[in-house]
Amino acid sequence: MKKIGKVSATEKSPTTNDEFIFLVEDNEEIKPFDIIKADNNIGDKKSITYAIIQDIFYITDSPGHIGNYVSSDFGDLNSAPSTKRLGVTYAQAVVLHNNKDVYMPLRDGTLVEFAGEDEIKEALGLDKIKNPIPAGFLDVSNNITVPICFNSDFLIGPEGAHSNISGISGLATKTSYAMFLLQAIQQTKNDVAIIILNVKGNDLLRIDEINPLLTNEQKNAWSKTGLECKPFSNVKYFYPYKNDKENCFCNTSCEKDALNNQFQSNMAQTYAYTYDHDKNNLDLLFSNIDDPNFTMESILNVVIEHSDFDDLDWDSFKSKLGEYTKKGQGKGEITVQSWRKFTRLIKKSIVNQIFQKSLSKDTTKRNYHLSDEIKKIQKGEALVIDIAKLEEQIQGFVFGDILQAVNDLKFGETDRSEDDIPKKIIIFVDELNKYAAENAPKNSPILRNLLEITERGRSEGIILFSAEQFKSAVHDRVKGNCSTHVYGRTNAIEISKPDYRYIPKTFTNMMTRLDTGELIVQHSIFKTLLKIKFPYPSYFQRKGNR
Amino acid sequence: MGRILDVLKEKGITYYQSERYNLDSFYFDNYQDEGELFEKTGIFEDENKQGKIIKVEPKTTTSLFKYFLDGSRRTYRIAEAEIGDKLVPIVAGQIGCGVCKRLGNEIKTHQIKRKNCLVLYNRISDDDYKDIKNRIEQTGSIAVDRYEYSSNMEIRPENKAIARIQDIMYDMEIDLLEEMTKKNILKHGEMLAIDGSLQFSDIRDERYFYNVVGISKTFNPNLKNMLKSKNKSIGTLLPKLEYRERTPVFKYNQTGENQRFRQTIGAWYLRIRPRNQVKNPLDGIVKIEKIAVADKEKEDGFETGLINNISSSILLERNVTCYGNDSRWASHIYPIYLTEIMIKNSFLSDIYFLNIF
Repeated sequence: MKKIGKVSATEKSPTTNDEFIFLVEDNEEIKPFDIIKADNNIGDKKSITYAIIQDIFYITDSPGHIGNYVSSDFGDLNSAPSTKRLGVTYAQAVVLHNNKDVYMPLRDGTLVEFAGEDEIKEALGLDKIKNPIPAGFLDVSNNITVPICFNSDFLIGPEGAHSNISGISGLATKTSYAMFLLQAIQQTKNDVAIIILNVKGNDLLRIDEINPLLTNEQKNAWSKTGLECKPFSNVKYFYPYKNDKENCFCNTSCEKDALNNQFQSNMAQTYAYTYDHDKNNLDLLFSNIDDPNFTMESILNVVIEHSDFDDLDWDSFKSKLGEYTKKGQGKGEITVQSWRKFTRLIKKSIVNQIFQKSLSKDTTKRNYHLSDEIKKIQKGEALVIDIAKLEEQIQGFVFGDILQAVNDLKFGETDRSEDDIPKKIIIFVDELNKYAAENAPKNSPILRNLLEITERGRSEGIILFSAEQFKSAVHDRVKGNCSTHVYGRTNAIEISKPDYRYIPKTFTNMMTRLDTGELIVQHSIFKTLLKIKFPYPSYFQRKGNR
Repeated sequence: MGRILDVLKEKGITYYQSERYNLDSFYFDNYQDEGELFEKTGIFEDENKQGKIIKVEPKTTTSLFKYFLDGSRRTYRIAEAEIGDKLVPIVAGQIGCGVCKRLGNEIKTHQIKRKNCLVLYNRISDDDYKDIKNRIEQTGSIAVDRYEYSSNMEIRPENKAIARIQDIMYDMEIDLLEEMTKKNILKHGEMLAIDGSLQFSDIRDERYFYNVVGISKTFNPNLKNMLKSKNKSIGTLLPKLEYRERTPVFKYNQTGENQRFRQTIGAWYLRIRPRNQVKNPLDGIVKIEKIAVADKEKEDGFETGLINNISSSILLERNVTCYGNDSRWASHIYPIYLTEIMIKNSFLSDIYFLNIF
């Protein structure tokens, strides 16, 4: 392998068992995240120390800028020195691994080389990964591409679980990477089911169709990861019901042709909520409402338990609420003002057409209760639930309903046998900050469900894949339980937040410069953060998307 | 106690191992051109017999200089010994000489020579000295030499010991020149610049200096006989020298006591930095020396064109500078500075070196 530099140890900057500096050969190009190696021979014991490049510097012997000013004939821009000022590029490298468990610092003058493909795998511990799930590939400076895999046990349990992807919008990297991971899981695991929430636009509403824009090179990138370049299989779409025949009774941005195809091939359904089936979940509509005195909760208890609220539909429910908001009608300790607030919030929400008197029997409408359908989820299936065109509080309501349904299913509250239920159910949701905001009300039912999943779901096989623009905006306990963190491009304000305190400065700075399709990943069993690339999406993309 | 000094003990030389320390701040270097005796109005160039100040015009963007030679030494007082009824110091030194060459616009090491030495007072018995020298030199890392000293000299013995180490360094520099000449490395367009004066104690063969000049950062401003006015020293002219101007070449003869051959040397001064950019009147002026090798040169002096070309090349070397790293930056040539740095970095640390003894 090509020699690229030489270890330098000085009085003020010694090499340690953790890191070292090496001088870089003049014409050599290196990058942060490159994996390098150096012989570490102590006595007769010969070993190899692997390290990752963290920082790269160039220094000259000029003690200050004034020295450089003087050296250009006191600021003459056209002066051309006969001799170039003495300068050296040096890099700081962090030790990743030694193949003989030698912890001795590297000696001054030790030659440094790029690590080869197998050596990179050894350095990162990729050679010993059990149950690998392709995670992308590493492009290093010596023109080597190394496929990277996550350990399934740490990605989707039981050892560790949940992953969080952050990064600014517009680069189509967060969602694309989550979908890549889900694709990898679908291709390598046969006892896993996937639930994907389409929260904006129509990007995820044609994931069963092949991407018509893929070039051969992009297809080859898939084979580099060991995966087949194909769209998702066993996909079912769930659209919010709307009385719009033209649009297959769906409230969605999905193109009509695609929608028709999905309905014709029995892949799509509409969902709606009825009072008698869903009134117990009304609290989900209040997830982001601060309720310090628990008045909303008290009202919800009355609605659930009081016989006044039995056997109604949404319209009669509204009328019934109207009775409680009249002057002098306050019942028990709940004031009329509280009932009025509750009624106002309810009325605002249930005008949406997904709130129906009853499910339609018209088979063309394919109208179902979403939670019931989720409880029927099969191994290998990918359910896409479109909530993009719903108002924010209703999005929260539907998401909460999904979480509840998955919890019910996995905690045995269905008639299905244990063997029939998928061993793992992965839920992917974008814009997690909407549902588990750092400042979410403590009694938010969605937050409660998310905490239940991230803190205890691992053992039950409920796995959360989430994404958001800014990680710092997400609740600490939700992100803290993720064993895999993925960082796309972010901004300078974000990297100044405490979430990034323990990430080396070079890496956080690099986060502000990541390109489309580039990510920095942190996975429980990786010895360091890695900058990886992943293939272009294999499912349907519109022109202009990544 | 180190093994090397044990050899002295075995020869019955009593020594006291007092504090060991670096002597480099102890010895005050004379001007490198101390003792040069110029011939009265001996203008030594063919087309400037009137001895005019010449403005050096830039004729090329490429310097004639490709090689840069420097020597450096560090000296230490190791112990004091009773030798010849005197208590005299034992001095050790690390010596390095090296040549850097320019490749493109970068400087790379061409060759480096290193020597560690121990110098003893010369009134030690010759037989004992031979034995001590053999025993110590057998270790392979230290050369042994002697310094002369007499109590009626107006100089301290430490300085005599350091001067001896300095002479060993000069010899090593000549060795390097000899090797390069024999390998035919030095050519007309690929000249070598030596740091300092060409006043070597023994030049051995002047042909080694055919494509060589010495460039001094410091010089004696009180040298006389160069200017027409009898008692005026050169220092009265130099502050008036403008940027890019040079003096005529003055002639003097090498008079070192160990010289086997008599050399004729031409010396001239060149201002390489504008006067308003330096702090002191002599800063930014370099003294350049060249040995006359060809018969024609010895008789008529150097060609004015050649001196102008050399001066022009030195002006090209003025950038970049070691400003901030070396107080002599205004008169220092950066490739020579780098050569010096290269040599100094080859030295053992003081603590390591002192513990060899």
